[in-house]
Amino acid sequence: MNTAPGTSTAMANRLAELLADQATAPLTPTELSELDTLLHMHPQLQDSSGRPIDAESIAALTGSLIAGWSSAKTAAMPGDVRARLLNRGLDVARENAREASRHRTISISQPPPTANQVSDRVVRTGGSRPFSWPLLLTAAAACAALCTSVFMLVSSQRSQAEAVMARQQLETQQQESTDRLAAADGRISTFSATLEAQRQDANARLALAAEQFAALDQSNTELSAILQGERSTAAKAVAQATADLASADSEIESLQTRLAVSERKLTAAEDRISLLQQNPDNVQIAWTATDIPEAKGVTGDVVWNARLQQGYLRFKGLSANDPGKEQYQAWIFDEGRDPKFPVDAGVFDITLASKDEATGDLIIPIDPKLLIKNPAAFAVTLETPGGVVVTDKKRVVVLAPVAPPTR
Amino acid sequence: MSTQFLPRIAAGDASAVAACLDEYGGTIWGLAERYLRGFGDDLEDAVQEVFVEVWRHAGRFDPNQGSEAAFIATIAHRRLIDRQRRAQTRRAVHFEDDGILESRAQTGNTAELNDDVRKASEAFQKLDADEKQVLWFALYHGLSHERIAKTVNIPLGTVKTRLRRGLMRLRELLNADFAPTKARPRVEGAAR
Repeated sequence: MNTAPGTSTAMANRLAELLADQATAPLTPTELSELDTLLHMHPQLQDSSGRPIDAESIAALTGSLIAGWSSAKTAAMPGDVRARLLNRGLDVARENAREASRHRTISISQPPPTANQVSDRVVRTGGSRPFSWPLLLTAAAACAALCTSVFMLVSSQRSQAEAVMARQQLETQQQESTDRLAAADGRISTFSATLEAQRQDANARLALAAEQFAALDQSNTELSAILQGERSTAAKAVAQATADLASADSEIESLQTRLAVSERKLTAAEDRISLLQQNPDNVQIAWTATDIPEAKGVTGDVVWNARLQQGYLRFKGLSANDPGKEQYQAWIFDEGRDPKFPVDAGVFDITLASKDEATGDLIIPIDPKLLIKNPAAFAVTLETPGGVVVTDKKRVVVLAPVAPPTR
Repeated sequence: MSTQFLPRIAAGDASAVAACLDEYGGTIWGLAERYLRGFGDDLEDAVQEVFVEVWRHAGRFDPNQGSEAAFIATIAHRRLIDRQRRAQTRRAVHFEDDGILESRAQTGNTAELNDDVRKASEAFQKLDADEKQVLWFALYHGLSHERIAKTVNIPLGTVKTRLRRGLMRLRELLNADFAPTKARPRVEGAAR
């Protein structure tokens, strides 16, 4: 690359670079300023062949490339667009025509120079002026001033050149920093992409785990519901079984009670019959019912053997009592004792189950608490639950007075 | 493409406008589609901006400096890139090499092209693959240097180096035929 005298190769190269950059892309404001400065300092930059390097020649080169490529890759312009463009072009052509006409008018209307003007030109060029010493001195002074100015201008240009060099170095450093920054951006972008991929993978696994957890949770809920139902069903079954068991227990207890009563009835009835058949010295007296309501329709008798101190009460039609409220109590009036204090012969209850199913009789063994020597009468009263020691005889149900022995 | 429309348009010849549109409309429309793909910009507005600038500055076209097609393509490249910069958002777009690294020419029937355009296209094929790649993305797709760096996955400095080296080598390859020796008028926006 050829440069004018006083021009550094580095500055010329930089100028060529900026011109090339400008031909392919817009320059930054800083680059434009630098280009203006360099163009001002080196208006005639040439290449190694002596051809000028300028914006126009490079633009013509790039324009030729673009035109060549684009001619092979044209695109059909829409018809309506072409119509609007044509109208706009016709307007511009008319403006161009007016402008051309105006230039021609100005050129034609320019008056020819007068004789004085021609003379003045001649004077300014100095063609016919006589030699003059003052003029020569003035010219010499002017030359000296001009030389000084040229020297200062060269110095100034060198300073400016150094400043441009410094700026060029800064630009280079800035470019390198920008490149490193771009490389760092690339690495950051790659790292970010990796992180993003990992994040997406983690999110996917998290979503899968959440889905599985939801499925498990649903299964758990369903199992809980099933379990709850089974538990409820089992509880109902247990309750039913418990109720059935209680009912069975109650029934068993009832049956056992009935069995015991039956056995007792059977035993008492058999013992009574045995007592009647085997002992002719028995006393057997029929009951006499009193007038209290509980005694209405009551019949039966009492059998007593003084020698054996054994006997039985037999009732037919005696009302059932409520053991929680009252109980029947048997009494024996002994002749050797105070009639006010008959001997307690036992407390008993009358229930439906205690009756003999065949005869309807009710047999109660006599259970005297004292030795009975010579019974004068037998009686049954209604007393408070558990019986009393001394009866007040207010609720006597039946009586059986013993007839005096015949002499 | 030997016919030149721009001098006629600069002189106010309305009939040249339609001919210019017929000649370059599809080319610029396709270029706008590629450059603004993903930016959500209005293609019609972009193409109109390009053509209005071409027509208004038609008087600056100098046949000695380059072809009319190159002049229009240069203006289109700059305007469309400016629109890219003004666009607020860009959707992700995947760019391919479009077979640029293949040896065959990318210019269709080169016999129909202007001489400088044809020579530039042929010289381009002689560049190294990495130089062709970045130039292709910058000029054919209109990608910024930063975008090329991301697309090709190379540092930004490398992109700039390859672009500069490619352009300088193109100049050398075209040296005998390309650069005129006389002073050239500046293209609008070429050196700000």
